[in-house]
Amino acid sequence: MNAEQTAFLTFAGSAFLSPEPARLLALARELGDAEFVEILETQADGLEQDYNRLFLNPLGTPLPPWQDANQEEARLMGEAHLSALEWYRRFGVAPQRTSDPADHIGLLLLFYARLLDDAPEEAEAFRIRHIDWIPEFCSKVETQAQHPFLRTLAQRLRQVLA
Amino acid sequence: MGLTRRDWLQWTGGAAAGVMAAGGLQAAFEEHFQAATPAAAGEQTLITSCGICSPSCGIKATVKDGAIRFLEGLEGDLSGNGHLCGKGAAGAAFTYDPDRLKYPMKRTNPKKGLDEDPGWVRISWDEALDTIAAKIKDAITRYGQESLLFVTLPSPDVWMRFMNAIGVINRIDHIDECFLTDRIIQRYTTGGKTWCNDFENSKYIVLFGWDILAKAKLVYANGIVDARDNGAKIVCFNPQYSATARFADEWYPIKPGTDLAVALAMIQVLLSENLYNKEFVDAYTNFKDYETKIREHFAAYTPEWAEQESEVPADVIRRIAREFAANGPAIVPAHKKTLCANYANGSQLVHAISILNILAGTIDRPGGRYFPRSVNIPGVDNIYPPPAYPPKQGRRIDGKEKLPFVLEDGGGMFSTLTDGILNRYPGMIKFAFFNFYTALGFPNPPQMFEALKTIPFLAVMDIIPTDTANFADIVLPHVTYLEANDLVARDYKAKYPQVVVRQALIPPMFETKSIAYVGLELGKRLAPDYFKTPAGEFINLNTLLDEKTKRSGLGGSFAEFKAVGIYENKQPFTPRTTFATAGGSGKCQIYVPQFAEKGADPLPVWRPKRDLPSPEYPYYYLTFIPAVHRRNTTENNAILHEMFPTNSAIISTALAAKLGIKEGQTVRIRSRVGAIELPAHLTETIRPDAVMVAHGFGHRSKFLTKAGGLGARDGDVIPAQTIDELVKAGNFAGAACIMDAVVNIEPL
Repeated sequence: MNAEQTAFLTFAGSAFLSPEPARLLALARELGDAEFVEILETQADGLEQDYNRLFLNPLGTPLPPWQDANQEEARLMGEAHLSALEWYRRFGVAPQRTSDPADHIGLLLLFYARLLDDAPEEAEAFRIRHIDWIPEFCSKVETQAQHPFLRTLAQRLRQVLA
Repeated sequence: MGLTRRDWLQWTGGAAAGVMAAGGLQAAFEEHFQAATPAAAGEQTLITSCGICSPSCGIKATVKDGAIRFLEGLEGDLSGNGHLCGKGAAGAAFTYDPDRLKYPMKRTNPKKGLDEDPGWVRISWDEALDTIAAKIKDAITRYGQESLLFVTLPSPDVWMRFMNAIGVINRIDHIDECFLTDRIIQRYTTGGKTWCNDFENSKYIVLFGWDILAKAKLVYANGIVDARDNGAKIVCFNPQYSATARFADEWYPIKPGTDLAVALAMIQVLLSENLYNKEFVDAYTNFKDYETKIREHFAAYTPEWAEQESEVPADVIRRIAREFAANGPAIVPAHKKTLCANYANGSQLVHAISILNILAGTIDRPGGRYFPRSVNIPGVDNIYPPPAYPPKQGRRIDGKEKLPFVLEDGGGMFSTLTDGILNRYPGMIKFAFFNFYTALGFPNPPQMFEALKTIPFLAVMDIIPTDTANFADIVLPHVTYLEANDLVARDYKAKYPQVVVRQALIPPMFETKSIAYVGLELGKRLAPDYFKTPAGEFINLNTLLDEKTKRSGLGGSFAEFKAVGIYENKQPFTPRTTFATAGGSGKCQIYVPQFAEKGADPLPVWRPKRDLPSPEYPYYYLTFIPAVHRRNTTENNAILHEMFPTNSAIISTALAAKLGIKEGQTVRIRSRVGAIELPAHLTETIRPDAVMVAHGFGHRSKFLTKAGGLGARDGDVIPAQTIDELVKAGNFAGAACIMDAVVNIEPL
């Protein structure tokens, strides 16, 4: 994966962790991504509501953004949480929010991007354990998101991970 | 590894400065990650107590890396006796439910309804608390205290102090569906506030309806199994061949709502044949003071009369009454709503049952119902005495001022609330706060939804996004009991005092908080003088818990006690010789003169249930709570959902044949207030004139991804009541009549 793509993964991880439009716009400009800049400049309204609807209190089909919640036994703080913590710990880091699940899609993407940049020989094993569920998750977001930012984000992320 | 741990740390450390210069993407990692030691956290074993139902069984928990891995029973704990029930064992699935409320949110769509998307946006706790405080202040200033409605439990003490400090007059909880009737009757007949049942030492147990084994409160289930092992005889009256009926020595399919007739006839036999425990009755009751009245009152309630009402044969009632007297210690045990709240004659039934226990001479005696020997944990008002609370002024939305004994009890009433909001005082409520109560818990939930729409501002604090949360203007995320600290004194089985810790196994997830925190923070904003220590500082919840621990003799601090986890004082059990009945006689009261003084029945009078079968509605409607669920709060728990996902209409094969209903076929159950549709389940184990439906299902919140949309709401066919109906029915101790419906059944 090239530097542009890992930068995109960082952008995506960041976006999945917090939907604040002004912040995302700054990040999109830094990324130099015209598509996201345009969406955020012209259609930012409703992004937070759609984010909350999809990821925090799912309406209709659930899209909880944690790996454990996307396994067959949908729950939080299961094996993926423990495994992710183990990965982070090997590299001397832990999530800032220690009481929340460590397998949030955003955290996993940020960490994966860091691995690709700084320890690429480890990235494959991490991908298999913690990233491979994400394309399917993105497909669901593409179908169910109402806001163009989230639809585009999911679509582009799926393509990058393909 | 291409990069050493030190490199990552350096990068992390260096990046903090770089954030400002380099901008967002470079800093994104550091925003969400921090440096950490590489050592793996080991497994820990912690003691805590269950918070799903009230006996709060002790738990031994395994925790690893901030994640709860396993919950099991705690040896030596009086409630669970080393075991957990299905609900308790599945406890972590509440904490780890992806659907749980995570952050304070406000709605952006002003249109309210189950089918409306509230358009939630996340807000800070400060914004949420400031907004709620401002709404309360505005409501009080413009419309008075009566315009506030709090549908919340009385606990914890800090929350209750907040209620009192702002003069809340309309605080409603589920007590009229649960504790209320029993509590009022016990206050005047035996002086008890809560009860324990000494199953283990009992030799003769008569159960009116209570399906002890399927109710799955372990403390009781273990008790009745032990009783059986110890040679007790168990007699069961229940329209359904329940789990406990199968386990009992004798079972009678009593006509629904007529338990009172059998209880009255048993009393009649005990009195007319002088079979009561003379030693106890003469020494510790007011029987002699009212003997003529009492004997005359019960004389007409013969077993032959009772057979007409109940369909239990007269000779059976007579024999059981005689055995009850001869084979003691005997007990008619009860657990709150199992007896009191189901029918309009609940007040009279609980009184009759109390009399049976008094006549058996087993009140606070081995083998009978006894008062818990509990540790009295001081509340915030003992520790930091408050300034005088303001008087409670205004109209009562539930109308309980018309029921003096309910008024005296202090709680509010679920069953008359919607009538109050919609009909008695429309527009009076301007602000409401619901905590842990969903509309499903009320009789006639559709009426409750209509009532909710009339309230200009609604705050809901809960663990999961319930149907009620759909109507909220602000939702607040509550911690689960596995993320909370407290002290739990045993009072369901307490021959000697025992306290088990409740400790946070993990820190509260996301931004969840406790209702005590909300009480304190709203208190600081609205009534600060009530939330200060004598030193003039605001109360601190941790310091308060330390103080409770110390003053209860449990240890020097909460941290010290939680390391031990359990306290007990195995003092010998000394039966009471004076009884703290209201009125101050020091004796148990069979005849209750205080009831007569306020127009209530001083002795239990036969009254029929509220709704009786008619040509239009020929069948009795019964509800129950499945063993693996609790009220209407557990259906979205992944594990419990898998075990019991939805409900059905349970009817007898005979009735099904008559109506042309096949197994699994959808039927419509219709009453005078509403209808539900659900699949039929045929069985031989229920009376052919009854249908039974599990409570707790029919959540319509689309935010509940497992329970939402599944099953039928049992309450839709149960009429809510008006306060005048209660008064007219002689329902002076306020039973909610949650089973008092009759219905029609048709195949679809």
